[in-house]
Amino acid sequence: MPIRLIAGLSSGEPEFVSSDPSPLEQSIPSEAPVADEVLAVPTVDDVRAVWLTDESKQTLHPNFVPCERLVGWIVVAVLGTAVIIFTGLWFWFGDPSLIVQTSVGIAVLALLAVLCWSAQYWPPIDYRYRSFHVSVTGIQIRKGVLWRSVMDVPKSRVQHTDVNQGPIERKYGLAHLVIHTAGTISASVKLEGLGHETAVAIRDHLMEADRGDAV
Amino acid sequence: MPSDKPEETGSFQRLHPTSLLFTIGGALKGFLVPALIFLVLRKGEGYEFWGMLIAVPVTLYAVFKYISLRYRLGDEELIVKEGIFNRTERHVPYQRIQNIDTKRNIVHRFLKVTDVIVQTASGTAPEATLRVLSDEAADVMRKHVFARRTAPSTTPTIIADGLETSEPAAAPAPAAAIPEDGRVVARARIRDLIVFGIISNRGMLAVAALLGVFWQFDVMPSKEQIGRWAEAVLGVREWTWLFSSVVVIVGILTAVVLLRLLSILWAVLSLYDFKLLRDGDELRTRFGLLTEHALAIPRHRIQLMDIEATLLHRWFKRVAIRARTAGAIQNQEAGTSRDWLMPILRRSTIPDLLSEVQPELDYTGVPWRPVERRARRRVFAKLLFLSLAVTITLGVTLRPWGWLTGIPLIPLAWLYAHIRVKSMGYALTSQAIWFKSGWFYWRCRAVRYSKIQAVTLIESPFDRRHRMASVKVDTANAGTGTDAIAIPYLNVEDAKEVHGRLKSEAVGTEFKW
Repeated sequence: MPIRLIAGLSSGEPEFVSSDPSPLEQSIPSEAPVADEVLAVPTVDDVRAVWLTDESKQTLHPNFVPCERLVGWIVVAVLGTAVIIFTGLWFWFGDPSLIVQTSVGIAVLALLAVLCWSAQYWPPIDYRYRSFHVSVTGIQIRKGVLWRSVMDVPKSRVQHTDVNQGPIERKYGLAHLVIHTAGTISASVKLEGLGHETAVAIRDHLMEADRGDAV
Repeated sequence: MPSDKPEETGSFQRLHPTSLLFTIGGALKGFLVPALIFLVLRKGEGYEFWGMLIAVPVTLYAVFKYISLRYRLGDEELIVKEGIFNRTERHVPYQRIQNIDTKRNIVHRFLKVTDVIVQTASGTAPEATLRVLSDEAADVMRKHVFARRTAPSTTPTIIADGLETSEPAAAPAPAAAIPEDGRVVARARIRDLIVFGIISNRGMLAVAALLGVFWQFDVMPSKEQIGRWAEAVLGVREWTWLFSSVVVIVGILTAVVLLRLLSILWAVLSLYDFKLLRDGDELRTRFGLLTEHALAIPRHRIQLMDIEATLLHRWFKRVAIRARTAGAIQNQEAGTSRDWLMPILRRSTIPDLLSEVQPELDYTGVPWRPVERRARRRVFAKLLFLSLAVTITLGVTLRPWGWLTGIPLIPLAWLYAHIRVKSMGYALTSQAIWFKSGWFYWRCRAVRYSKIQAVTLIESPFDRRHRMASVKVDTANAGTGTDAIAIPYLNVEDAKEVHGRLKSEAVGTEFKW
């Protein structure tokens, strides 16, 4: 049986059409997203009217960057405090030699610097490599800076979906969509950094009744 | 007695009265061996005796369970009521039932009863275990469930899966009423099971269990005892080096042979007369001499098919065939697995079996494609890095000979890289994706497009450097933490094509568990 390998077999959907060397490379926004931008509230009809015809991938809500930053800084604060207290106690009670104290101190400071840098500067980098594309047939999610992945979940495989909002997300008007499939690794696929209304709109689109799937 | 009148499917029924026996027996099985050893050997601390008091609550539990558990075969669902203080009522729609398995050991067979295990797609645990039903009640239940389960949905399911277009959809319903029936697709003869025993080496399990028991009860023979036994058996008092080494070698050889014999015995007993039967859309396996298992797998519910062979399998020209359904659970009993379609099969008969089990999988016509040969360099480089670390560590610690370990490691690494990349292959046929890999443990897996849940294209930094990518396919019950299929080392362009094709094929089919 001959294989028929045709790129972009699914009609009307953007495949990897770019002549880019990397298939996961995408148009990277030249500027960092503006957090305070006022966005229109999308509805399911918007999803159908715009997204399903639009060739371009949808970027995440710009508030995703400050939201991730806040989360990052909270992690840094907790970790940093723990590390500082731990080393402080060690230096005080363990009384190691001066050389040990200096080298450990430098290492701790370097670690803290790296943590602080990543809390502040990693979210915008990460943001640029995240996108999603909702189509008539399903949803495609891209993410990852170093390990880049494109995951496709056909609409007919979606068992149910959740729209969740954590306290920090709520502060920024964000939500994350969790898509549940019957799969193993893809049993729950998370799409983070959506505006709450966008998440609801995607959920409504994915859960349309015309799927005819019975379990 | 309600269970004597299984025809009354509309009313709630109790389990068979011998349930009491089996519930108590099942719970106490774990204590039986220690208790016996305690009684016979008078060894141990005595806590084994107090442990036996556990029988009292277990008996009470069994009585309560027997009194409280009632089941009813409704029109569309199985209802199981349980509990005295905490009442639960579980409704299992027939549509969601993946399999109904039965298990009978010698005692079951003597009393004409059976354990019934109802599996749904929830994956980790059986939805309901009815221990025990009379044979007739179990039969009635299977007939009832299979008739109702297939009746409303057979036609769309079969069309959706592209299965059975030639066979009328009505066929399975009446035929499923007699579960022992069906055409024998494949059967393991005693000779096959002997080969299986030799290949699988289950003897270690028995030895490990035995050692465990010895250890537990401190009856490991001491050095002096062994010496005395040796004197008695071999009649020697003076131990020379030569003689000792001969004894050791003979001992090891005997142990190996004994282990294999044990393994063969295990294989013959537990997999005796392994049969794969097909009855319309329903596959059934039956096996076991002492404990008889009967498992049913609806053909369209198979999520993925595996053909497996270790090096030993290849020497004997045999393979094992597995089929994973969404509700499959690894059997607790060591060694047997509920997803075997055939534990041992001649390699030449694979296509025949597949054509019965999954007609859309044509094993002979798979257009295999290799992964990128350039990948050998990547695997080699990775291994070289590892062996360099090993060599430096050994070189520094075991000067000067440690450095020499690097010399054999380099060609070995290249050999491994070559074999690993060469063994991999993938194919996209009209209805399924295939992937094979491995040398010592070779596995060929096929996933029908209709069972694909998600397709992912992944590019690591190393992939980007070599212009490669990998494609992963996820299905239900693919195994903990793994994708059903992960094809590494594809050329970027090929990976894009495979990804796009899989995506559109998955979109074009409908998933029906």
